[in-house]
Amino acid sequence: MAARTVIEVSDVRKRYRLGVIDRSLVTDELAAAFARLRGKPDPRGDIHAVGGDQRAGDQFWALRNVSFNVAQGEVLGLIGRNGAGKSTLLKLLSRITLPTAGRIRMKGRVSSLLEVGTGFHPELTGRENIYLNGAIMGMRRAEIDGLLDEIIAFSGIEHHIDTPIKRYSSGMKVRLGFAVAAHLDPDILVVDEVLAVGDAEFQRRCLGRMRSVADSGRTIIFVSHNMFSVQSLCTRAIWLDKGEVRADDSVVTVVRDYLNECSAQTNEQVWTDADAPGTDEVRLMAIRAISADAEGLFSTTAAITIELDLQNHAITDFDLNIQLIVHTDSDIVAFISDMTESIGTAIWPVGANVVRCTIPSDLLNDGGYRISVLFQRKGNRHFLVQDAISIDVQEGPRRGAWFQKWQGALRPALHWVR
Amino acid sequence: MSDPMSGSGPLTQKKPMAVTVYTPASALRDPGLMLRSMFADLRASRELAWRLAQRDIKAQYRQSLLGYLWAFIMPLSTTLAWVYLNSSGIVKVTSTGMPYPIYVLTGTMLWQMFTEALQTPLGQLSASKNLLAKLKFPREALILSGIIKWSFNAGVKMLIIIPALFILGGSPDIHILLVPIILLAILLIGTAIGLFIAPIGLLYTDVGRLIPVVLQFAMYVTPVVFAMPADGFAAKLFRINFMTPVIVNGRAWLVGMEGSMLQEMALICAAASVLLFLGWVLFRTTMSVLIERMSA
Repeated sequence: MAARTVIEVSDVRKRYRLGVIDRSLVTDELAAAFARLRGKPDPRGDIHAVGGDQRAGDQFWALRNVSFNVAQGEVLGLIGRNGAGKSTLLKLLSRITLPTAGRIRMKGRVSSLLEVGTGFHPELTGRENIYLNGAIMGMRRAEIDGLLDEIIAFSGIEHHIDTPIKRYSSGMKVRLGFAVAAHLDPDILVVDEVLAVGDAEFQRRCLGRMRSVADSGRTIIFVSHNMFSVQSLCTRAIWLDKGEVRADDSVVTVVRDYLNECSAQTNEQVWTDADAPGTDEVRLMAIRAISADAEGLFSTTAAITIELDLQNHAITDFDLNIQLIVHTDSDIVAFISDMTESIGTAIWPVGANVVRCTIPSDLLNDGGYRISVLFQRKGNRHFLVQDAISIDVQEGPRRGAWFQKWQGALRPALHWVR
Repeated sequence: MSDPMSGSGPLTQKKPMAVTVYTPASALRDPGLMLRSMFADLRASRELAWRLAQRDIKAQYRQSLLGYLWAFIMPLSTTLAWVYLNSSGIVKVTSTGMPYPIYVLTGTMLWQMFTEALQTPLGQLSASKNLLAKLKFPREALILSGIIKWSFNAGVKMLIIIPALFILGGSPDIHILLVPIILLAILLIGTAIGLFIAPIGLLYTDVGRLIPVVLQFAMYVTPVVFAMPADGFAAKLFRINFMTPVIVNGRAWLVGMEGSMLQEMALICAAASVLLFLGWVLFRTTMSVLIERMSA
């Protein structure tokens, strides 16, 4: 069978405007609306004026020049870090928002599952909510009638099906929501990270259901942070990075490259005057992680100092704050540390400055952490250096008898008393 | 787990797959296509609209003690307040041509229906922000379900007001069969204006708060609690007010009197129909941008 193209994404871009909406005047909005009507570019900004930077003025390019095709029956995984543009792309594919430029062509009935149980009402019973949720997702009454028993059985909550769902646990609600979604019959299914909820047994069933949907010739686009489920479900993967397609290949290749980059150690980053991130007021010239360990190893039992070299060009007031944002490998924010919370405000001499922040020993867990640096002026975001460095923390000498991986974003040594 | 080929229907039984193309180009550039898709979406949204209306009506009455009586409490309390003001001489209302309690009750009832119809589109959209950001469905379903809910509540009000009229000494007659025309007119005008307010109100929340203030003022230049002034500046305001003929006729038919200002009312309804259509076009063209602003 010749593979038919069912999704065609050509040169799609999506721009968001940063800041608060009320900054715009009604007259600006009208001028923009008339320009769109006549097919002219938006007078508020020229979309072709974008260089290599994702951010231009108060505009943010969530997607840039994204193009790909998907053949019927293909199961495509979308991977990438937080903020890479995955959610934006899903919203476009689900037709919730429109692209700023470019074109998306889809063949067949599209269902999207960005959340389970959308529209559920707590006062209604499980059965009533099945009909409601089904209708919202585009199922006809007769269709739901025919599938009702199957849906209830799949959810596994037969006994409570006539109870108002406000008495359900959150797990039961998720199961009911997925049970309805699992019985949709689309040609193209767009799924966001909805499997991250529920217990292991239920996740296994969801994954199995999606595989059987894929096996019956339907096209699936699947977004997940969980590389295991991406690899077990998808045949092909697209890696989105800063709004662009970084790689588009077989799932094995793309996931391998992605994981390699995620774990690539960059304990130090140094910039030149020309490419240092920042503004005309202040720039980050270098950032490095230094271990207190004698051999310089990053381990759970050694303190780690984060050192920042700043170049202050023009700040003469008190108003500069720096935050370290520490993410784990699984994209959870482990913690945020705020400079002024610790040392208060100060006048910064113009020229080179060094700031240090020490992460104590026995706080981080073993595993990878990524550190982003946020500069704030007047309480607002000045600029952000995302994932400036990453550190790979090794297991220190263990106390106790547990030799498997400890759960948790952190592993602080806490004080117990008896 | 069910067999994928028998469980939910194999691909082969489908009609040829529809192709959807979406680009940033405005839908207004192809009016024919836009018109077709507007009515196609309206048709497709009927079932969902019913479901949503059912959900809200059920939930609304499941949680309340007084249930359907709530539809009647607001106009009743207004009536009592104005009957007190009038009988105590604090406010002197000129002759209304019928017992004053009946005049106020019918007036406030019809006026409340109008304010509800006007606020329904914005209310529906704000209550469904999450739904709009998470799923693609015919957006018309939200407006339509608001209309269904409004009609249900209007029906409840009618069921209560008719016995109330008899109790207050009125004598409704065959004219009452004409009242549905008034209800339709109120729904039409209210929804038409509401559709224009909704996109603005979604972006700027203070607009939502401004509406009751404006409506409060508008009530006093409509023959709701006052009789039509005979002359002066107030009379002019009452006359250019497009709700005056609707309220006047609605009240007349409710209490068994001949209608007046019928031509004006027909004209206003025609204008409201055009406005309703334009409001619908505005609603469709602004929706995707609004959703983005609300959720991004």
